[in-house]
Amino acid sequence: MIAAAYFALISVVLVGMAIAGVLPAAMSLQAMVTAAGLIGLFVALFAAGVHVGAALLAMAFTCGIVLTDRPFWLFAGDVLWSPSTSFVFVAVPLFLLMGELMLRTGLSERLYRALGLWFGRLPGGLLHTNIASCAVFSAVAGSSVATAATMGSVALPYFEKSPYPQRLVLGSLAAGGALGNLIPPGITFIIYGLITETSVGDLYLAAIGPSILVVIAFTLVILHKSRGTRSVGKDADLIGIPTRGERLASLLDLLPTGILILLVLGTIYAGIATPTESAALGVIGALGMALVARRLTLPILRESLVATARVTSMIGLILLGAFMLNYVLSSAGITQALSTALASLPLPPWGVMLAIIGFYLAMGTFMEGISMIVTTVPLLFPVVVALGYDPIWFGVVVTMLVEIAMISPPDGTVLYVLQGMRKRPGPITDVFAGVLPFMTAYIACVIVLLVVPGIATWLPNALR
Amino acid sequence: MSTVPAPQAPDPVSVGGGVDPAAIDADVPRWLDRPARIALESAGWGYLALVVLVCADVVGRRVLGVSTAATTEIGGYLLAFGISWGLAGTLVDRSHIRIDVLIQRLPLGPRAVLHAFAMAMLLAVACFLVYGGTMLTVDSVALAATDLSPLRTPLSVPQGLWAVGFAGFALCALVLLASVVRAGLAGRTRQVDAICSPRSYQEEADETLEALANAPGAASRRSLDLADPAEPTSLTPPADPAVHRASGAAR
Repeated sequence: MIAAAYFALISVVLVGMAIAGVLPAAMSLQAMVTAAGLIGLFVALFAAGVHVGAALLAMAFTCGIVLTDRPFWLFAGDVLWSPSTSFVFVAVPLFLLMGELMLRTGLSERLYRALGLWFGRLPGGLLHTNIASCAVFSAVAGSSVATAATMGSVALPYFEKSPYPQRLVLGSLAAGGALGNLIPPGITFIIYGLITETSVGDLYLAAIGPSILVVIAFTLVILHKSRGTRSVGKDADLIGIPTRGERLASLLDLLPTGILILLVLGTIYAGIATPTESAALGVIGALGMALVARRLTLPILRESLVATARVTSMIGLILLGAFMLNYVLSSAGITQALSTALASLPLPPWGVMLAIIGFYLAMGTFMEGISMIVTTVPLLFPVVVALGYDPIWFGVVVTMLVEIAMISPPDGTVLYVLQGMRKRPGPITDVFAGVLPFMTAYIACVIVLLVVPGIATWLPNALR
Repeated sequence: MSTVPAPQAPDPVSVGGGVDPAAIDADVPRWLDRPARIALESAGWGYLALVVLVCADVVGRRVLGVSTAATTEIGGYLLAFGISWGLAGTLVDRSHIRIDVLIQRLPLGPRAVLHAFAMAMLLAVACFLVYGGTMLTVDSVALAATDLSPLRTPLSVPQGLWAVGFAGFALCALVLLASVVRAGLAGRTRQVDAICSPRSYQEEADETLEALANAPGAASRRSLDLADPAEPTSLTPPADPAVHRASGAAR
């Protein structure tokens, strides 16, 4: 609904500008009709429920026929082979495998309990634990759904029959889940790096500042929401009264996760390994930990491998479609024309950027993150660069927008995963209401990043 | 995990786009499951080989000062193999992404038509992939092309395997399309929906929970283990404090 309203607004503005004659020459009437027809077809395919990868390839085919007279199909093999063998993309199955292994080896509950012992004193107590454990867990897992599902399954039992407001509990878990891809190492960054040929290592560096910003924003939301409820926040009732010894011992439970973070992020940031190599080290680390905990069995390994292969192929099909479409569009000159046209709009760059951010937020209400990035970034990236924005900065912003999409009602994946795991029955609107303050805070962080891009860019620039 | 053979599917009929495995069994030929599953799993083992390869390279380079110098190439081939061989199993598992906001709101009849349309599009696209993969392989054979690594791998080998994966995907799409059309024409629209509808969030969540529960001693089951010899350092309490103390507080 919001999405439809937003797109209608944009069309009205464009038509108005066309009538007023302020649109640049590049947007001739004929070009606009063709573009409208193609976009219409695209939307129709998506709405009809054609698989995203298939829709992209079908669009590539149609655009190739309509827009060019080149035999684009002769190059299909080469165009499809290059992303299929990309060493950057290799990191995706490896990070997925690491996450699947972590999920099945039961490290997450120990992490949650250990952090719970440390955060119990703050107003809002265990709610902070939700955010903190999601933040720590997402530093080893690369997926938001996995983060929310794993932490949710561990945390929700603690909150059953608890005096905490249900909405805030669910909201904080969803919000924590939405850190999964932003806090390095995330899969979204790998895909962005693959499409735009930017350095994944730089993206991971740039994500550190914004990650801290978002975590602080979430913490403030919880503190604000649980003002004056200090008595409610006594988590001694929920998790046990910790003695100093227990607290110190709980650090041991944090150790495995700590070692993994060191292995994965440490090697990337120290420049010892590329993201792909550190992902492989991370898998070995996760395997080793599962072995030590005597939780590595053949069935578990096989399940993890199958789940990894399934998600990789799912992403792979979409990527193949996007690469083919992008090849056709750029060889027909569409990509360049679009970026010239948008860059010459009588709008300040931040105006265009705000429109792009609005576009992602609107799309996010009905579309899943990876498809969103793969479909739009090839077209928007040249525009953004032409407007003078930093490619790395834009990668962080896009990732944040995709994360917001995952927790935006009515179609955020993470919300439904959490709703599916609730023991105490209630309508999905509880989750919606609970997540809204966090979503608002998240959007505010994007705006802050727009005003102060340095939060993302100074670290990679300083180390370059 | 409730994948192809679904021997221990948790929930026969669930709400909100959930799927009855028995309904699929009625219309999809069983012989499709095993090869798709095997191809999917072999893709997974390929990724494990990839892990070993990349780690060996890192250790070799950093510690021993030697490099295989072909890791990037071989790793890429394993990925290409994994992506294309996994496509069919992913399709059988209904895991390829679709935007189902609208379809889910339609009555079963029109929904079945759109399912068939999507499957037909998928088949067409798969044929295009087979075409691209085959042409590339044929060219590599004709030119006797090798990669630039010291191994001089003939490119036709990984490219041929890649094309075979696409062919399996196309075959799978064809069989599923035939099943969908047959079931649809016979008026069994529920079955069509069962074969095609994307995995619901509910199923994803169930699957994640199942994975957690299957982890030996994980999650809730874990806290009931009084003396778990595997973790001498653990703080595991004698019983689940969450339930007891919280219920105490509620009283």
